[in-house]
Amino acid sequence: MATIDLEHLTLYYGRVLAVDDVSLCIADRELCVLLGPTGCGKTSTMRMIAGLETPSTGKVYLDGEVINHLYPGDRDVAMVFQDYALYPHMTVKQHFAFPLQAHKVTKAELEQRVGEVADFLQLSDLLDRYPSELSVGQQQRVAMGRALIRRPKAFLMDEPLGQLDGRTRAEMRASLKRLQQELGTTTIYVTHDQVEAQSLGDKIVVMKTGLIQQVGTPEEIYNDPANLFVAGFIGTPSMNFLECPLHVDGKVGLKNHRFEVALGPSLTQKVKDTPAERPLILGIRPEHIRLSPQDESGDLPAEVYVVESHGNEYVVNLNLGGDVIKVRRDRKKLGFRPEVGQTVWVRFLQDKIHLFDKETGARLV
Amino acid sequence: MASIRLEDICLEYRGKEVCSDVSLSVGEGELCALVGPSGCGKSVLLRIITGLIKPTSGSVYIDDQLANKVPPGNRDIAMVFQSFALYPYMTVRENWAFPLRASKLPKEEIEVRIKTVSEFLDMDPLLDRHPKQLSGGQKQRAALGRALVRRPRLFLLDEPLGSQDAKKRMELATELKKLQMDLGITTVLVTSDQIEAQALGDKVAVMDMGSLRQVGSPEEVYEKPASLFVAGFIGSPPINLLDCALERKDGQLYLTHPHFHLSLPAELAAKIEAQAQADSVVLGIRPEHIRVTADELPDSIAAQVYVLEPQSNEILVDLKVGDTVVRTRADREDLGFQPRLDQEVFMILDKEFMHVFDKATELRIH
Repeated sequence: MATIDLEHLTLYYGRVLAVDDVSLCIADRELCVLLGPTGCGKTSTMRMIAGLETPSTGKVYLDGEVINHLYPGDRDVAMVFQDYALYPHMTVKQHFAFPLQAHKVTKAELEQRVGEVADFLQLSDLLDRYPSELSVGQQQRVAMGRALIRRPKAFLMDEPLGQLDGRTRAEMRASLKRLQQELGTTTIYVTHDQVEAQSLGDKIVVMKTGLIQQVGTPEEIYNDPANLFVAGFIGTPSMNFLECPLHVDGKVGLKNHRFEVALGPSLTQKVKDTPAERPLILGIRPEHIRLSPQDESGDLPAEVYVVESHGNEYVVNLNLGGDVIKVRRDRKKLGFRPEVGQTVWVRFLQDKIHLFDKETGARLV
Repeated sequence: MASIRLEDICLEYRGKEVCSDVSLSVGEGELCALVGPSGCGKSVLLRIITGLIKPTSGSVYIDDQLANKVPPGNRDIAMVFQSFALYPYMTVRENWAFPLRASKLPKEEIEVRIKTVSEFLDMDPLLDRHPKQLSGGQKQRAALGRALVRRPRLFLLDEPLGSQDAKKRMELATELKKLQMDLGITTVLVTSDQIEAQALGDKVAVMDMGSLRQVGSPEEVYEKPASLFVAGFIGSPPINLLDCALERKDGQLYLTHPHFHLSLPAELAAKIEAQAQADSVVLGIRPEHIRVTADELPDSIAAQVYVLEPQSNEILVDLKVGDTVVRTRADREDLGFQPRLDQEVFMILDKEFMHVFDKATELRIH
């Protein structure tokens, strides 16, 4: 069993508050991703769990026991670093054997465990190679193996796939996910890459400037972002944001000087307590906008600005009365090829509209 | 504006063929994205167009004029490098003025051009900064600006977005495309990122080991890849490639695999019959063209859920079919059920989107 609990953790570097009152529960066997831009406090938080940083206040629990006082080496957590930190003078086999030597394991057991890990990571043919004789992907697996062999209570991974090129990264992601699920080891994974976070995380913790912005599953974070920051950070292409004050004039809608979007009955009900003329931001994801070459009632006209081909989709950049929005749609489903300069008609899917308070950034609907 | 025509370009270097018989045309105002894995020869080809490298044989035509003997400086080409190569001890303004002064342009004209380009690139507040005071995106624009002020007839860009993070890259790519379209400057852009190539290119030229494998619109190289290499290189997640045998039975054509036996629709079967040289083929099917269902349906193939990766509004479901891992991709809402790890499920391949390649030649059969 390996649950990890963080209770009101804060960390100051001098006068700079790097981690601001972070409390979190990580369940046994969970892969929890700490996600956020550079400087958000994700690595600092992980380092406090590892014991490489001492919290200014707050407690770290492993399996219900406080571990603040334990040295990193005594915490039974294994870390995988972004740059792998492999020992240049040791072979792959030595990398795996080294952590076990401290644990006084018999020679037979050492051989057996090294063999097991090497097989698991498909490194059996490379045991006698040195790091300089390995590809980047292989080096990454050695770093993993060195952590794996210890059978720790938890893995702490700091952007372990950061060095890999796009394609290798995508492949390693799937392998890593499968590996973690087969092993069942509780894992904390730090990354700034929201694609990676969604792929890997059972739970994602979105952070910004030391504070937790939202905790949820990939689906929750994507479908129900708690605020503007999370909404804009998760998803590529990014969610479209349009400034629109609420406007009540017989029917409820969003109106700015360029366009007006009527809100259907469901959304109208949700905003009934919001004061009229309140500055709001309408958020709508690129895949939740429909395009038509003809004017259909209730649609907004927009001018095609740039058309990008992405696999089986088009990403159409549109000029909607001065705001640029992106629309993403499967080519076949779109049914026509938008041309630059063409006027097309735009409709937002009502049940996919997000409304944020412009001042606080909080989500209203 | 200028067109480019490469005819049978070959480059041999230390006994190795770096470029083999490359012929390529780029029309006026067109953006050609030259894409391929590291070491495929694309950057070398770009340098042959500029004149920085001389081909062993073959011709370079710029605006229908043979350019082989024209020195790089006289070809009226502006090149933007991946590292930007900005002069670190000059401000942005000085970086831009430098090539214009070297061309002996009058002072007033230099100022006008700098002003115009600065407004265009939104660099007004940054003109007096040094490169180290600029963010990655700003340096990018500074490098572009230095090329733009020259008003070249050709733009050659070598991995211009390479140093940006994924999100920034997408934003800059759109801006770059818009800029190129507005200015109408014939452009060749080299990248190893096939996503970028598809997004930016009017035309995509796929290269591997010194040769051009396919040249076409982004839609063409994606929807009708000419070979196994192009099929596997263009598209992410990558296409699934499965070794199959062609079998004829009772007047019908089948694709057989250790784990499935699929009849081919009449039209596809006819095309394959006409072209197939042998019976060993490779079936290509893109992840979005495989449907995953909980229940057995006609033509469905038994599989096991191996990895689940949520991605935006989609979910990538990797399935295990025997020893093979098959990647699938579906809109969460279209999937209709919540797959669980190790669950026994079924997959259906969309026959309308099958790609069949000859195993020996690796070329598309239909």
